[in-house]
Amino acid sequence: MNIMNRITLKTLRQNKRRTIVTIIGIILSTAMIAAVSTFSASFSDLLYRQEVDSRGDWHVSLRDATDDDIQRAESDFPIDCAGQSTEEFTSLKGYTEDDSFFSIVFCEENILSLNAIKPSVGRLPSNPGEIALPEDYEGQNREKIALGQTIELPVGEAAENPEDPNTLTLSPNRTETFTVVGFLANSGSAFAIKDASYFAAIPTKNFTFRVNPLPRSLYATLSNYPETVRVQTHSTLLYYSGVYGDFDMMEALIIPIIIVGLIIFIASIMLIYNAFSISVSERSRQFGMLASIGATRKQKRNAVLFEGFILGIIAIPIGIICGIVGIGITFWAVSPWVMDVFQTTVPLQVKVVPAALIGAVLFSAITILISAWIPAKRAARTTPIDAIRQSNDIKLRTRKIKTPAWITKIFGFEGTLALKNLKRYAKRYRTTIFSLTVSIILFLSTATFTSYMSQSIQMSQSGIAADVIYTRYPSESKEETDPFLSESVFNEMRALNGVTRVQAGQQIELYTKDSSALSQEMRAFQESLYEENSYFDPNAPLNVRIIGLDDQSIREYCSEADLSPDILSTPGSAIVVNEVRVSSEKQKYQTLKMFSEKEGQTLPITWICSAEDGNESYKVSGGSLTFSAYTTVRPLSVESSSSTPTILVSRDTFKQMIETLSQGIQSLQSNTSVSIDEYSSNILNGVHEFAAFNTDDSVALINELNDFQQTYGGYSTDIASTLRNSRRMLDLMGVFFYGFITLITLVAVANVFNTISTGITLRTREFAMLRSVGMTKKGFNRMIRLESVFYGLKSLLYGIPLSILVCVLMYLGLNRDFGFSFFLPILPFILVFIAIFLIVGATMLYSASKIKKMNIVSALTSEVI
Amino acid sequence: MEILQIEHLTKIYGKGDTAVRALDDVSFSVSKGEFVAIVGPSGSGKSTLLHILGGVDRPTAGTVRIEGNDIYTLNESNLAIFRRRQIGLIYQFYNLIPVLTVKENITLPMLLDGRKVDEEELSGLLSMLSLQNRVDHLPNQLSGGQQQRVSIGRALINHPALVLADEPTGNLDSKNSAEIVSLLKYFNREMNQTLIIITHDERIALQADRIIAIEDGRISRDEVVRT
Repeated sequence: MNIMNRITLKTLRQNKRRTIVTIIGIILSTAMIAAVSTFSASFSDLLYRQEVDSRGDWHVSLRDATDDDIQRAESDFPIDCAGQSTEEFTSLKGYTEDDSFFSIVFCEENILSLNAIKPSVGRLPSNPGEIALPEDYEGQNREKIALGQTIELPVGEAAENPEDPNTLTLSPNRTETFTVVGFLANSGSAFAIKDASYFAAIPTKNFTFRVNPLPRSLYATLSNYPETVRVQTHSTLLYYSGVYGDFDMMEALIIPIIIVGLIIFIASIMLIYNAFSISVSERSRQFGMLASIGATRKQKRNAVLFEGFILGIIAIPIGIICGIVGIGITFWAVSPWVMDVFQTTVPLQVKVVPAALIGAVLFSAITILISAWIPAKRAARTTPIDAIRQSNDIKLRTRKIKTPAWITKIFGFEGTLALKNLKRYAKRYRTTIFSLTVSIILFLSTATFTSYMSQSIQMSQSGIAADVIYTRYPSESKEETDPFLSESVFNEMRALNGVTRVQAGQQIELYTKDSSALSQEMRAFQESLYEENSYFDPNAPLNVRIIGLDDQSIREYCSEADLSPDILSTPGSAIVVNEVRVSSEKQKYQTLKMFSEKEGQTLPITWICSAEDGNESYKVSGGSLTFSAYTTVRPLSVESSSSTPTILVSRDTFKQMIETLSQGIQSLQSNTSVSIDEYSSNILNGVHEFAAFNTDDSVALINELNDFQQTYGGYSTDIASTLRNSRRMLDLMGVFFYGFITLITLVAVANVFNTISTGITLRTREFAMLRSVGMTKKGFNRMIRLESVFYGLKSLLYGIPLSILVCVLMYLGLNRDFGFSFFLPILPFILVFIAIFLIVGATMLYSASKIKKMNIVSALTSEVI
Repeated sequence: MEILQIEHLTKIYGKGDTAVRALDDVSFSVSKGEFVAIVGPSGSGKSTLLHILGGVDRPTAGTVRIEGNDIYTLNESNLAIFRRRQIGLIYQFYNLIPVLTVKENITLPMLLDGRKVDEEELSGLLSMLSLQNRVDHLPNQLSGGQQQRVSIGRALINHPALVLADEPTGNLDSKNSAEIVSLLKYFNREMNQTLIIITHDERIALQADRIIAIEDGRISRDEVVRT
């Protein structure tokens, strides 16, 4: 090894701390690149595997293909696996009940695996005469079909029913006998096996195949096929395999990766450049001396490049390993979430793509080369004069380091000195201030983005306080006497496991023409709407939601809303939930009071019947409700985003109201000649019953409610799960976002550490001098602390306004989808504030503590080359 | 034989009003084996002169010929190689590479040149410098006098045409100073090494063959002390 490289190596070894920090920095950036590429490779691999798992690994299917077409495909493509099939219809019920029709696919065995057909019970058919039925149809005719049972099925075309164009009718051309061998989970079709001779006898059939290796020209070749053949391609799978058709979703994937890559690139270059730049300026006297005894430019430059080479050789392999291991651990931790959020049946696995790793190595190598290049050229330019000079302060001007007088007043002489030092080393600190600023911006904009996303997810959530809602339509009730559920059923639901609270009752949406009860702010809002858009009819009837709660629910609700529990016991009395959320073009989402809160106010309510021809409408009065209390406590089932006011009444009042309306409709029908349409002629069509639950385990509750659904009909909605899923999505994003930010911040911290600690080491002699002329330990600490404060302030001074700017831009860019007013998340800002001072302060104190231990005289006379 | 010829050497720092004429039309020559002391008050231009002689700083005007070669017609690389082979520089603050041993520091110019070190010659030099027991020490394990002896060794290892010393004793006590000067004189006498030394110290100057005094960038006195 030549002497320059040996000196470089020894210098690296001597400046252990800086070398290690720089190596850590390179490891971090290589690891990030490796992680990002592994991440994207693994995710597309996940999507690929998910696609294969759910839809199979076929590439092309030629529908209605002739034998010639099939031969053509066989010669055009390197076909790996293929099969023929035909598709017809069958039914387990009759020929006209089209909801019982399902398709039956006759196929060669390969088709099953190509389409990822999986049995949930039994096995797949493997011989002619065997059939696997779709699971959904297992019990459709209420007669369970057993495995091994022989069934006869009519097979033929399903065509439009000539009598009723909205339905289909089956016209079977034959009946086939099958042995049922299994039921299929992920298929709506039945599958039965036929051998090659069966297909040879049919003129056109479907030919499905997998190609290996995949030609890029696949789409182009297929576009030349005759029009008689319908070409289907498994475009998603082809896309994940790198064959793109017309659509280029690539951009959507690549742009974020480029942005992330660019950020890593900039942060890494900043760190590595800074490290080399420090190293070169620290060694400038060394280079100068070497120049004076005859080192050539090339020798000096190569010494720096060699330094980069050594650091890269050590750091890059470690970085690659760390990146893959890191992403592996992350995947292992978040895989269940990913499966939940993306609803995949296959787990997220680390997929290492050699090309991506080579890319990461090249990326890091290039980063190091670029970072080392400018310092290397500077090293090459170092003249012997630099070695002879004791310092570079010759270029310093008084004006440049002038400090305002108030600094001295507030911070004392040490403060002035600290500020002067900062100005004097402005160039050395610039990169550090810059990288700190970039980290601040990155951190804050990510934090803000995440909180915007979480805000928007919250906004897009209906804001229902219930975890589970059971809903039932009395109009579908089979009970003849009372279509409504009895209160005892609700009480049974109350007793279910894990239920903490239930609000149950009936709900209907009615109208009111009376606008006299409206509040001032509501009127003002309506006028503004009218001004905005003259199509808005200020005289249109207003929607009101009327909920009749059962007794127990009323008692609980009243105690929550701080109302007397018997407030609804007077017939016709009502509690108004007097808060609605409205939005106009000018302002999205404002919360207003719907009604003026006068006591004893009454509101007439109506049901609107429309004539069958749709031109006329008739109002049926439901009497009026008396407002006996106003509150803002929302019932569990009501959305926070609702613009319809909610009025709570007792179960009796509700039933009385329905009765009145029902009679009104009847007398309307008998008095007028027009016929009322089917929907509005039955008041029950507007009513639904519900039970809104709060529970800790929504999944278990949904299961328990199954029994009620079997008996009473209706369905349950798991609101908590949906909410949990979107929160998980957010958490998932958070894991990757904050992981990325943490790494980037670590790079920046490494950078700051390098600059500050080296800066302080280089000033050893200066500090010794200050102490020799009588600066106390306290004064010294004070100066160091103030330097860190000024330093932190400076990066915050740039970082905070720029971050706010980025946040504003982000808000403006995303506002259309968000619909909330601009805000800044306070916590991250406070965190950044504290973190900056901690990082800077800790580094300075750490470095200064080493110097303080040094003997003044030896520091003064020490030689720093 | 004249080993160094300087003609009309001028060096101006800065421009316009702030221009400083550090050297003003300086001409002289030095013969092989001469021991020249350059004296003068601070800021007189003596260091500038030495740097230009050493091929380290470029003159504004004038020529420097070493063994007949005009060194400032050489390009950057060739000048570096020329310095490596023909000039030995000794600094006031030694300027040793802290991570290299005594032996490596001394042989640095040869190593830069990619040449093999003659071990026998090296051990002779080391014993002349009384460093034979310090071969594998690092500079910070040596005293100031020893460090300066290392830098003398480094200046001499290539048998340069010219050894230039800039206040070589400025950082040393009187005992070490005397040792260094007698060492330099020894090489001058015994090996016919041409030596130019910048000094403030009257006693050192008086040991030279010739004293050149510089004031305000001009030679104010050039006298031969002994022949």
